[in-house]
Parts: sequence; C-alpha cells; structure tokens
Amino acid sequence: MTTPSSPLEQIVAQRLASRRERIELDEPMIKVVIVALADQHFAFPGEGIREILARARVFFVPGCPPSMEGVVNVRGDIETVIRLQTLLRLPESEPGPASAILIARGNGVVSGLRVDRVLDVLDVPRSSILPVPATFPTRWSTLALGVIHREEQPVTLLNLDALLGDYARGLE
Amino acid sequence: MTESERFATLEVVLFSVGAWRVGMEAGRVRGCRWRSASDAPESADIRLMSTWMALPAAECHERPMLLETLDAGQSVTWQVQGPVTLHALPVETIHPLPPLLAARTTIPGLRALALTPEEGLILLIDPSIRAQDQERP
Repeated sequence: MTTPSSPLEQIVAQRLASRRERIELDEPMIKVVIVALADQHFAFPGEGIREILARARVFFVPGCPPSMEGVVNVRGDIETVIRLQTLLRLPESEPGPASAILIARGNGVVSGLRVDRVLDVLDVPRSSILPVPATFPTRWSTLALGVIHREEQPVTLLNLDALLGDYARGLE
Repeated sequence: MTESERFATLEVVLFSVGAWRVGMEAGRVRGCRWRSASDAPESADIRLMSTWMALPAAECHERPMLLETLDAGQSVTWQVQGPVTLHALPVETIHPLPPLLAARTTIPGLRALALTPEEGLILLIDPSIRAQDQERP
C-alpha cells in the first residue's frame, strides 16, 4: 500500500492533473467578440461577425425606426446599421471616437451593429458560458445565449439569430 | 444595344421631398411642369409626394412642380419640390434595399437606394406601388 506522499502517489497525482489539463484544453471552444455599450459588456459569437469597421460614413435614411442609424457602404454593398443601445434599452449616446460597426450575420440577414467600443476577441470554453440569470431584464434574456466572465466582469453573450430575426419582424 | 449597355445606367428623374432627393425611373414620367395658379389649391387630381412618402415637406418658397406619371394606364399627377433634373445613374451606384431596411421602412414604394458623389443618398421609388393607399392633399 502506498502513502499519499509516496513518489508513486505524487506521480499519479501529477499525471491525473495533466490529464485534466489536457481535457480542459481539448474542450470545445467558442470565439467571441466582446464589445462595450454604455457601461455594459456584451459578446457576439465570432462566427456571426464578418468584419469590424472602425470608421465608416453612415447615411441616414428617412422612414426607418429610431433604432436604425442608417446605411453604410461596405465595398460596394450597402448594409443597415442598427443602434444596439436602443435595441437593448441602454442610455443613448452619440458615437465616440472608439465607436465601431460590427458587420454581423444572423437568421440569414446581414446588418451592421453600432457599438461603443470593441474590447477583445477571445476563445472561451463552451462550458464557461453560464445560463442567463433570472434577474436579467426581459429584453436581454430573450436575446441572450448566456453569460461569460472577462476580467471579473459579466459579459452577456447575445444571440445574433434572435436579435436580427426579431428586428426584421419588428419586435423591439 | 446590348444587354450590358442597356443596364450600364438607369435614367431617373430626380426631385426633392423635404430634405431628401428622390428619384423615379424616367420612363414612368410623362411630363413635368410648374404648378400654376390655374391648378386648384386643393385639387383631388394632384397627389402630394411628401404625404404619400410620409416625409416632412420642408418649407419651400419656390413654386412646386408637378410630375405626371402613368399608373396602370391612368395618368397621375404628383406635386414635388425642385430642382427636377434628369440623371443617368451608373448601375453600380444603385443598391437594393438591405433586408432589415426593406422590412422596416415606412416609405411606400421605396425600391432601392443610390449613393452618388454629386447627390449623396437618393431614395429610388416606384410610385405605382401601393398607389391605392396614397393620400391626397
């Protein structure tokens, strides 16, 4: 019989820890684009983000909902730009110098999404996505896939299919 | 004329509705004239483009213009603001409506947008769409 402090036990413990580490490394990952809106952080699945425009001229189009900022010319194609702040019922502010437009695809629709700042592009384990808390605002919970944490701060992972699909149907 | 030559440009009649430049295919326009004193002020035969498009009409001190179009064989007269000009828009400046804009716009007959260096954004409309819903002055 071996004691916990025996070399064999230590080797076995090391090997188990190493296997756990390998399992963690092999676990399914998801790429996310993390953005700031007002004082909140949100993320989008990276597979749904086609590109990030740092500076682009937006043309206002009349006859659109207030949440639609206008259209932007992306190399010869025009796409709508939606104000996420309005959609998520966040305090409104004018786009600042760090503002960007994410060209996103969801529910078969492509559109630009105005954000205050792009913070990061990360690979996170799928297992780190936590369920949406029951205390979330209703508007957010219907659009959220879950919550992840970045630098101790909660980040709401948004569902692009729901967001753009609802928008096309006039559900805001 | 080959197909590619035929669609290199689109001839449009441009006019103003409030702050916006609006265009319709030149082939739909049969005539254009100033609105004259002989036109009754509340004529049921003249449709206000700004009302139909649900856009605010800017205060305009110039005499409005009347465009005559043909809709299902019937002549329709629209009151618009000038300047009324004829343009050949290169097809690459004409863009179909992005799906969310198409789904959410409140402008009847809005079919496409054009972006040009001279005019900026142009709303391209088809006045025959929902013509039965349009309001009269």
